[in-house]
Amino acid sequence: MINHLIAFAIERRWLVLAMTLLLAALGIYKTTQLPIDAVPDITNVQVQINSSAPGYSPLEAEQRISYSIENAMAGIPKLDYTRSLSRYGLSQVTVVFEEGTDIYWARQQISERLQGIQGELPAGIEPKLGPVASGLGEIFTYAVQAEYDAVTDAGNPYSAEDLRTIQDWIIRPQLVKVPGITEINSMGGYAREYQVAPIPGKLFAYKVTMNDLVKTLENNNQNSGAGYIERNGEQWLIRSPGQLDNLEQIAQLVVTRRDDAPVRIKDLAVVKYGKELRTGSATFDGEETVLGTAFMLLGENSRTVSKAVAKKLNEINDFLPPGINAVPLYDRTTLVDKTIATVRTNLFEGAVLVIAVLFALLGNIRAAFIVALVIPLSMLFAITGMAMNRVSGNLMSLGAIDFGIIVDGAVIVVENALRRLGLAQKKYGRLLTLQERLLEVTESTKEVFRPAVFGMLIIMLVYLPIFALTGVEGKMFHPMAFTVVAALLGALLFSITFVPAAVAILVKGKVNEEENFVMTKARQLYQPLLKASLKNSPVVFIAATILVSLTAYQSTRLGSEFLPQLDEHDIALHAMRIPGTGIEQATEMQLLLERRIAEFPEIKQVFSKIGTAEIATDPMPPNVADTFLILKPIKDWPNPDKPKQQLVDEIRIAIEDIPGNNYEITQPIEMRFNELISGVRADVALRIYGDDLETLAQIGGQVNQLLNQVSGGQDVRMEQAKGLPMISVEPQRDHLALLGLSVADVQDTLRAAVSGIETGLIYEGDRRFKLLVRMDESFSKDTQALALIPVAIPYPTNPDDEKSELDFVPLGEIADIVEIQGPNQINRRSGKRNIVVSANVEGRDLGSFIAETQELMRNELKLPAGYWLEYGGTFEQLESASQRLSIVVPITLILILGLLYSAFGSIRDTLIIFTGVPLALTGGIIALTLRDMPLSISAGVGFIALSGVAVLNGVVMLSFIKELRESGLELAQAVWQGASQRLRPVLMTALVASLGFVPMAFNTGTGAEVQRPLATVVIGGIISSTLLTLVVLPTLYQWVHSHLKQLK
Amino acid sequence: MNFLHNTAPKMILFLFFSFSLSINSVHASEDHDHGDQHGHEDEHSESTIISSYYAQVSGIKSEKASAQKLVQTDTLFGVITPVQDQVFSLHAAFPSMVEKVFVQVGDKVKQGQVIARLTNIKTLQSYSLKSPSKGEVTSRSVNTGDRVDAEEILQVSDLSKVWVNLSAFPENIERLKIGQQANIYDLHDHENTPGKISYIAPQMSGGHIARARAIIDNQEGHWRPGMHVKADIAVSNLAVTVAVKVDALQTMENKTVVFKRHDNKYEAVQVEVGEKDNQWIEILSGLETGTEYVSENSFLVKADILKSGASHDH
Repeated sequence: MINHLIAFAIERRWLVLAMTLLLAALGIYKTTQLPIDAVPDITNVQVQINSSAPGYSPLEAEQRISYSIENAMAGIPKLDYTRSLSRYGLSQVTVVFEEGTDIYWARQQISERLQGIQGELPAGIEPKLGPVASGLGEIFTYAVQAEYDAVTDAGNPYSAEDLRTIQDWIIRPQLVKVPGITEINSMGGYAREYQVAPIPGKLFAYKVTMNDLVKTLENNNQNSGAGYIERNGEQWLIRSPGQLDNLEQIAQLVVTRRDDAPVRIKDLAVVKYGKELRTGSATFDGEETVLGTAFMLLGENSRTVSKAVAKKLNEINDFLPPGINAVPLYDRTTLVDKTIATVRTNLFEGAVLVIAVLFALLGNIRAAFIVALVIPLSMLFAITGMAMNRVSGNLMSLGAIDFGIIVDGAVIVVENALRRLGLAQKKYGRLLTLQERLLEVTESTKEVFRPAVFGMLIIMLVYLPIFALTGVEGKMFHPMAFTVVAALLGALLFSITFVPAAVAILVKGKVNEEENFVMTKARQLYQPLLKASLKNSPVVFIAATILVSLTAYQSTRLGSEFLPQLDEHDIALHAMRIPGTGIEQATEMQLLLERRIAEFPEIKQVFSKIGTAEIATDPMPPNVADTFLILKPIKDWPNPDKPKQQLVDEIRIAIEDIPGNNYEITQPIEMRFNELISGVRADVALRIYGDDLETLAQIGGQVNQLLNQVSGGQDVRMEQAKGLPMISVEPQRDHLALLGLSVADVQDTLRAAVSGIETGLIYEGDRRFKLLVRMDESFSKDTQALALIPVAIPYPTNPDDEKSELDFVPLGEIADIVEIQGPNQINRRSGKRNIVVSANVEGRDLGSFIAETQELMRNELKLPAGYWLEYGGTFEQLESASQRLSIVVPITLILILGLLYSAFGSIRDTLIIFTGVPLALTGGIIALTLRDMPLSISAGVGFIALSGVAVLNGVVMLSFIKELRESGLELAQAVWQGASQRLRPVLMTALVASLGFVPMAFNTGTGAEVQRPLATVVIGGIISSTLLTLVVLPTLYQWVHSHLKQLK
Repeated sequence: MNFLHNTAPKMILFLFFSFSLSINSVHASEDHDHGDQHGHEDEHSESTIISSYYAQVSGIKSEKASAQKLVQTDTLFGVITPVQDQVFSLHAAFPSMVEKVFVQVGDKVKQGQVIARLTNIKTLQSYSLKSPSKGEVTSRSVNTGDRVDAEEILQVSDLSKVWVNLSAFPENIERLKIGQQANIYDLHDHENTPGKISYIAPQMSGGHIARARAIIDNQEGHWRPGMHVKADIAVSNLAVTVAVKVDALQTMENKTVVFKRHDNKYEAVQVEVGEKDNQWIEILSGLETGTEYVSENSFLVKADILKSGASHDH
């Protein structure tokens, strides 16, 4: 079959070429569809259900909303777990599905269930599903700004509320239509409200209740249609417009009549544009502002979409009122472009180097060109596969491709073809005829088919364990493994079809069978070395063993990190204040912080999001602010040589002095990921489940103490559950009864005073704004003011009195107003309240730490009935990953062994080839040590690639020696001849593989830090593995085979 | 041979485990950094240092605790009524015919001014009706030619002083005393005038309130009877030896604290508080007179002391 395939490829060479061209064209087309981003998306399949509940305290939000929603979600197919968070005014339930669940299907399921419980939820609460976006979704942020001298139509300077109105009603509707955008989230300023602020004294004076006012507003703000009439054959629609349009109309509404005069709203209340009780604000360069954030639809190409948003925003700017600008602040394109540029440069330079090496060693420009063509072809092949499987192109996936390794198969095929062609030409003493040429190419391809194919298959196989990773790690590396395997598959396919076909077509001229200068020199160096090695085999083995042991030891001393951080260039910092910090206070503190940060000359812009935006994709309490520091391009820094870390340190020191803030410095995308994958990213998390918040907190405290006793426990932390100051207005039921009041009367009055009662909407053309009845802020500034809020008493209070003289009673008279500390937020997971105590483990292995903790908790912790403890945290993932790997890695090894065995039919040879792996790894570890780099997953991927290359080289070498022996040569001669003949392909594959990575190893562009360890390991490893393949392997082969013969 | 056979898989295994371990230790070390940061501040220390620059720009102000006079006020709502003995109903002395009425409603009259002439029906004698007091004609119910017997002809009210009838709830009554100063505001907050509590009803009304009364001056006629007003009544005047601004108080771990300032060092001290008014609060213990304390934006100091505990929980 193999023979047929090769024969076919060469006979129908033009057809093969045409097919290749077609594939390439498809690849180019697919490139436009490839989702591209800077980093892999590590978000799980989750749907957020946000319910805005104005005025609800955490307790009420949890009790009435989160609980119902969570319960409704239980039992959805493919559900992983649910978690919920209840804060002031917000309930957020996050439903996490199993990996691979279709997000639209999942949302459908949730919507259905939400419909079912609509009746259980309090009136006015509408759960909404969060945008269909992932952690990479926030691709674009802009600020709406007014120039200093800009004025509104009315001649006033623009207020934060005006800007918000422009954002909500001019900019947002246009941007949200940009293809690929799923949501525009507004933050900052105040959403416009029409506020009717009743003056209590006047209500009494006119004997009007709050309720009358609400009713009046509700009943006088409606358009109504009354069908149509037909008149003289013409149809006339009937409508009665009754909507209120502006403040003046509201003010003129008649509430009632006293004596002969109408009592209008303006007689009872102040009608004005109100400020909403906002849950979030935004700042920009030390001023309050309005921010818009564009969310990209899941799976879109972030570069294309954010470019489209930028373009649209530019267009919108032309239509904004004079003096108003929408300023782009954060644009993902910048980062993606930079990363892609880095990858592109690396790949391009690598490719050029590869071609140069091929030319230098092959001495034939056409042959070098054919091999080089395999690079773009297999790339296009990989991209086609990626685009079809929605695997995103990013730093990790595209950056891990080593062209050197990809072209290995092609190199082997072309090298052998050239060698055979050269020999044949020498034999005939003339140029070959077409038939002869085709025959030679076919034969040469057959000769190296096995080593080439098996070698490539093995490289693919070593990537297999990566697919066993799950969770965040899996999401991070699957795209990479997929891409590399796809590229290798493509390369393999082209190596045995396109390459021989192209060689047959293109390599017509004289092929020099003599080796060129470079090879001659190399051979002069190599042969004495091989000779010496073959003679002193024990010395070689001992040296190799010592080398392996030393590096194995060294590897344990290398530092380690998960993944080298992608430098996003920009900085994100969480500014955190104590729970209970008010939004206005937090904004003040944030402004101070921003002004300090803006003083740094390296900062281009700084903007912040404080608290929760309109759509609670990231529900932060008001005491937390996400601050984004957009840096100038490094070349514009006063000192372009300053390392970024130094700048970060300087900023950290500078802002440390600002009172009241605690910081966490990170990067924009990183921050978003951390928030979304959330939950607990500590090694060990103890979740205590139960009913009563107080008891939970108390048990949490105990667990905290106990955990601190376990040695190795670090950063033991209990989730902050308490600490939100609350004013509790507790009605005195007896007193209320005496006055004929109900608890609801008290609560309604309180609501009207503080949060307001919504009575309808005011339409300004297409725009709509809430119409609220809410007392002036001065009535709710402190507990004393609250105590004075008058509660109207319905007539008649006392049937004995003809007309009671009592119209009202102050709130303080009928309710106890107390200040308490309430729960800050209530967390639930899988339908139960819980509190988390987390710890990291240092200096001991996780397993024993968990065991000791469990033992301790069992003995020391007394849990009341109905409370239980669960263990979680990353250790779970590590455990399951180790478990999976302990199965997958041996299987992979067995598969590789099986492949090798099927190629050689000898366990002995298979094992000899396998010895190449540890020796190859030594080079990688030495290279890391020399460059002072830690072990990381990037480096690990390098080691994986290395193992493959080492095996490939071994296969190439041994298969040839074996063939020579089978053709009847003596062992020693076969080894000597085989090794010498294989010098060129081994050297070539090694050189292209390592040189292809050289640009990557030394690049300093954006994203290079992620790729550098990978490249370093491969370069170092290939040097050692080449030496091994060329020297140790033949020596070992000879030694093993001669000794075995003696034994026999 | 065996050695090599074993090494290869082990090596790969080792690599994978080193990845797993590295995942673990990265997180450990990241979080460890936080720990370090927090470590700089002692968790239990209740003081902090804020540079004078930041204290100034963020509006942290301090002053010395001192003796103060606390004026506690209660706010009551009420209605203006005429002073009871200043409303005069004028009647005819005999059944009479009205000859002429000289005044209209709203006319100002002097004491003794003739405001109507009447004719006694029996005697046919004409006689004058004089105003018993200075004041204003507040109603008039007859015209020339009308016959009057016992009904009221005219009403003259002297509104140069008016009563403010205040509704005092049980909670207020405890603190109300005759003679207390009151400040009366109209509902537009346009005008206010001082007055004194002159009467507190000895019994509660059916609606469970007691009337309290203040008399105010109404020379300009702004305070019309029937007008709804509110009154701030100074219910107590206390001289206290140590007082701080109300805004200075903060709660930390369920304790009431005030922040002492010593140059750039701010320290939380637990205090026991006594009486308070709108501006000042009495300190019973914990702070001495003359101690410099944070009087404005004290929340920021609290936030700074507790900031190590601030975190971003999701």
